[in-house]
Amino acid sequence: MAIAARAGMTCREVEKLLDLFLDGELEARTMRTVALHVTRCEPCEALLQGLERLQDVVGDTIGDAVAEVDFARFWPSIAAEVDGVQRSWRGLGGRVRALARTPLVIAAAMAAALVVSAIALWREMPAIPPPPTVVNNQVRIDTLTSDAPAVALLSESATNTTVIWISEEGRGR
Amino acid sequence: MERTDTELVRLTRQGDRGAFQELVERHQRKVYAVLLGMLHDHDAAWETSQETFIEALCCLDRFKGEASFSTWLYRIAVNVAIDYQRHERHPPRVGVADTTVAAQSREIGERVCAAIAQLTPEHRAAILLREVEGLSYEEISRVMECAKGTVMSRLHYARKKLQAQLQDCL
Repeated sequence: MAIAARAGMTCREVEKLLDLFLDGELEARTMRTVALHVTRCEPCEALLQGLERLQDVVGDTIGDAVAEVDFARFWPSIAAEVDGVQRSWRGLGGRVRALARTPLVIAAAMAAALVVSAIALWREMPAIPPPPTVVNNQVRIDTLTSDAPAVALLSESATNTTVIWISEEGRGR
Repeated sequence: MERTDTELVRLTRQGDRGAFQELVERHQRKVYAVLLGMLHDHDAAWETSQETFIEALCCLDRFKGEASFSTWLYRIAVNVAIDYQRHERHPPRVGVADTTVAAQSREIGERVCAAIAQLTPEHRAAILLREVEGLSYEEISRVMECAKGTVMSRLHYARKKLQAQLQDCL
């Protein structure tokens, strides 16, 4: 941990760092500062010794209990299950697993997923209504005469719409 | 020359049974120790250790080698222990039974186990990975998928609580 060391650390400051000191998680300079303080300060030294004893007693309790366990039976007790898992790899699962590792298959699977998603999306989209049928109302404009200062013609074939815009500007209207 | 964990994992993926046996025998004690500390019962620790290795084998494809194999294995073991207690509703039992150590140290051992059993699974895992397995904060944070600062505070809290409960035998 990057905790800045100060030459004259107080007991309160050192106390907060004792866990990290015990676990060797401080930077070298801070480790030295805490070590120096602990060697000169009895209350802080006692706190550190308390943490060390706790570490020993927890480690020893579990360590002693594990030391008495006979692990000779451990592998045989799971071997059959391990065989079952590995057999499934060699079967269909194994072939799929092996195939799944090839980049080409991964790319093909992704492309297929994309196509399936696109089809599903397309099916869920509302149908686009057909454009209204225009029956015999077409007009052909050959000439357009006007005294307006400006005339504009806008025609949009997709919606069968034509707009003729005549400017009234300058006529006082 | 001893084969590395990475090499054994690669061979296991290719279906080499012996390679997985070597991995199991290399890590069984460590995994068992964490699970015994978490569950305080030899039968439960044995059962969950088996489950840990089988689960590791089943999801070996997910091991990317970013952390060490043992760190990855501890992560599985801690999750298996937490699940065991949550879903199977097994409260942590107090006392590590059937040991032949002297009466006095057995009594201390039972008190230590009782104190550890009162911690939350997260605090228990943190203290065991540190005090029993000697993992660094970085390694514990990988096992428990949390920040290093969280490991630091969990350890501090767990130690304070254990010290308070074991005051007269420390």
